[in-house]
Amino acid sequence: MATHPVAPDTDVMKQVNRKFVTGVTVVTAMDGDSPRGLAVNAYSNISLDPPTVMICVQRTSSTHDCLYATDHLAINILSTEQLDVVNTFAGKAPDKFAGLNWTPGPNGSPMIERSSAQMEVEIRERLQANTHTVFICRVRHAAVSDRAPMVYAAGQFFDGAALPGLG
Amino acid sequence: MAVPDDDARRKAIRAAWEAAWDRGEVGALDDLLSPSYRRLTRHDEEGQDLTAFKASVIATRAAFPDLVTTIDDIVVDGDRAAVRWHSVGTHQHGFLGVPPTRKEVEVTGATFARFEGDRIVEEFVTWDPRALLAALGIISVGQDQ
Repeated sequence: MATHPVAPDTDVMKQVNRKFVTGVTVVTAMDGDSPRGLAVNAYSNISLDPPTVMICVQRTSSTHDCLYATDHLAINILSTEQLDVVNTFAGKAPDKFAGLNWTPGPNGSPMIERSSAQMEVEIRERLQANTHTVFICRVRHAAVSDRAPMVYAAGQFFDGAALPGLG
Repeated sequence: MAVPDDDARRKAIRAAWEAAWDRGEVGALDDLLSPSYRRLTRHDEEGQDLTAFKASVIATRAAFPDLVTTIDDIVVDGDRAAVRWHSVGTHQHGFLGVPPTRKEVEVTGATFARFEGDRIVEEFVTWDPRALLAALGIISVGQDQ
């Protein structure tokens, strides 16, 4: 396996990232009266007690700045039934919420219907890391459905209920 | 007489600070600061000149439009003045690369000034921008490249 002792080039890092399989989330928040959101696969659980999670959002995203003005956001873990949702939120449509079914969480953040799981979280710390901000969040509300999660790998989406086991 | 001079300098500082920091009237700083004014936060830097300082006051007030600065203590001794201050404002527009948080924050600091005649030629300012960022819940990482 080739090693890169100094700074690996960007193309190598992109290939590295393609080797890491994730779920898909849509992060949403209220910007005043307007809902905003974007597709995020840089989500991770940090601790169960207290329930703490993190997401990472690019500064150039149209949703980024409103995540500094709001105390809460929602993390919608997408299901296999939401290919339409991920395509909308991965793009730059002027109103990503047009025709979307969602309900406000306890603190108002948009909880998207048909999701595999949903959380509304309180933003605790914002780590400014060059091109991105990492948001460290305390989970305040969580809901889980029976819908299988969407899986994302190397730029494609897969059915999280149809993965052959290795064992 | 030293006492009236100290008092005049104290009044001049209060008047110029109130006009500039609380009302954005940076022209009032010309009554207090010398054209050769330098504002330093570290010994190993050039610091700000009068024009750059005025611009930074305007930029700060643009980010915190309701900014109010209070002089908590002011001690004048001959050509030196020491001011302990705090500022409170609501973060309404981007500042130090941070998008608006709409949060009210308070920062504290101290300024040591040296007069030549009736104008300040040099100020050493101690305040911690990281304390402001911490109050806003912001942590900067990965700045070492």
